[in-house]
Amino acid sequence: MTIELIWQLPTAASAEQRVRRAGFGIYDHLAQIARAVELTGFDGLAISNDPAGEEPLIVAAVLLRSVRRLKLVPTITSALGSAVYVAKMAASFQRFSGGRLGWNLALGDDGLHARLDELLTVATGVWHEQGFTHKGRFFEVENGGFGGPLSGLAFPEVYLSGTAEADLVLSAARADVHLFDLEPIDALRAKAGRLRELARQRDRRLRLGLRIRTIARETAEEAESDARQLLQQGGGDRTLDRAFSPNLWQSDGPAMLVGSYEQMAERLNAYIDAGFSSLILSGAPALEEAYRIGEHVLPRIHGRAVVSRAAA
Amino acid sequence: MSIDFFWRIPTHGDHATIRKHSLNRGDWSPLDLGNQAPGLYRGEPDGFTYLDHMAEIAKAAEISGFVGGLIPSFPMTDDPWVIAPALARETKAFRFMIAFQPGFLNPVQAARMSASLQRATGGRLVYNIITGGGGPSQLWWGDSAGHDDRYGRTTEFLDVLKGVWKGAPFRHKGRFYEVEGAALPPTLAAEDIPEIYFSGSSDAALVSAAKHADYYLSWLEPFEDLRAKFARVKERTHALGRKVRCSVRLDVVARRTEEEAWNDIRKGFENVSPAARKSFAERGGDSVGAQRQAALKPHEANHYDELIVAPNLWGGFSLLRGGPTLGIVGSYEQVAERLDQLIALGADSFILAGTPHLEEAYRVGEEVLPLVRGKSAAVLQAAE
Repeated sequence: MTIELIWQLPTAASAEQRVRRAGFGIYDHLAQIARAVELTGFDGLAISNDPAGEEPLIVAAVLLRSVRRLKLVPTITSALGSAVYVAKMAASFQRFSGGRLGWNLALGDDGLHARLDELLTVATGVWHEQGFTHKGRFFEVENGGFGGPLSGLAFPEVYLSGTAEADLVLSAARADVHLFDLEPIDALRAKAGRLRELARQRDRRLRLGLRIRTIARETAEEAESDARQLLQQGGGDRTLDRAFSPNLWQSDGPAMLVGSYEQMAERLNAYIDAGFSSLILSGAPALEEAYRIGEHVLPRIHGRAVVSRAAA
Repeated sequence: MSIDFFWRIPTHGDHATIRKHSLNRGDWSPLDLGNQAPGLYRGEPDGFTYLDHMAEIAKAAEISGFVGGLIPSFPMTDDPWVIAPALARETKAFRFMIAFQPGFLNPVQAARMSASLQRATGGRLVYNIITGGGGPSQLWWGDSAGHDDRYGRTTEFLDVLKGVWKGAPFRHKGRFYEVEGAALPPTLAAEDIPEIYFSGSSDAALVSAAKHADYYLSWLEPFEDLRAKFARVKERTHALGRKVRCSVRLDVVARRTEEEAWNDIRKGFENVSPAARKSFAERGGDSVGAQRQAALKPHEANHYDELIVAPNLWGGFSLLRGGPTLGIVGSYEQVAERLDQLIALGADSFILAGTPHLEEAYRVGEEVLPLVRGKSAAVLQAAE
């Protein structure tokens, strides 16, 4: 099982605030985070769809030439545009990046799984076939299909998410990776089991992924102190519903992992051993936390041992 | 007001010379003697792609004095919405004119993409709104709307895009789009809406242009036709209380002498196969602009000079490379003089192109643009 470690890029206020000099903008800082993620050994960069932030596909394309190796995984909603156009933008992206695009597809405001499903039918149709014709509920194509240099490219890996039955059904049929949000392992096992069964019914296999917010520090005490401070800043309920699973904290917002570098690695390895092979990690501030995780946690991840430089 | 000169990014491969109809720069033609495909070194992938070639052209255009470049969009080309952001951080002043058909994107999402790109480039985005040539290619794109409906949709698309850009919850219930309380976040809404270049020669197009266009963009036509067309557009938009400026998109072959320029055209014409002429004659679609150009019938000519429709005006460009039929051929001075005539008859902006795009960006930028009097007069005026 190949383990994929992806860092999440913030695209709104937290990145904006770090720009203090005229003539520079948020993209200068975003490019620095992306480079930090690449230099510290991650495999990819996820660009989420924050309604207050930048549009993810544009961010991914702007950063395309700032990083050499990272896979770029923007979140795209099924409301973006026509299936052919969304696929065509992806084809150019694959050409320019050497096949480094991943699609984290999300439902549009209509909440219709059927639209996302049909978008993928049409996108894969025009991607792989010549003379592709389709007349569906949302999209219509006649004699379509990408030709010349736009043909024969790798289709972007499809990441889907959600825990409703309809989400799992769609993933079982379409996803390369299904993303869950951090929960105690036992709770996740049940959901993952259901997903695997649905996929088996369709004779498909898919990978499991997990989105995890992290606070990793040299010592557990420092991490916990920073976590407490962060949760208090957020306002709302100040009482912490602490530790119903080791190092897993939860208040009002999404759960997060809090701990020393060793503890963090131990938790992540436990999730990996439970079958979660794509980890999308996030933390704030993004650049500094990416360095902490990249330097101290990634080398402790199973199968990621440091390869020592040969003595010259 | 100064005249904006744009260049063109060839999204569908590039020719090494106007004399030969072969897309030998890029990966649209097989690798062969005289062809180069960025990305291969001694036959092995080296990490470069056609985007690197386009990057060179964009940089050449900005260095040599163009304000930016048109990035065209066709079924077989790379997409401008990926090209522009990918080149954002390695150009300084180059304005990205993105050609796109509004029907293919959700207007709220398009507003977000655009405002993000404005922030990534310091406000260097320009729209070339195209409403589609119709025919089989429209269905290839997945669009079954009829000609006049497409223009109606374009108008509504721009209504919504501009509406959500104001930053306050926007409501719209129209024939094509329904929006309830959508708005750009404040950081994005603070950006300027891109200038809109609008293409389309039909009456339906003019109605839409009158409402939303900043620039009305036309292919080159015989000068008197163009004068009438621009007058009509300006009159129509004026009647609606808006002022629209006009822009011409054209190819140029500019050489030290007129003789050298025609020599290149002659060689190019002699290399056109009968099959290529036939395929030109058969191109379909419901584009009125394309019909106006097709009336020139370059496929019936046997010698290049049968296609000279006016001094320095040649009607066979579409035989030498994809795109419009008419272009300007002549010495540096003559080409500059024709551009001045176009300014006099109503042009406020140009999208120029020459083949090969990299070298010709330098040539036209260095040799022709400084001779355009309308441009320098405007500059002097602005300085006063």
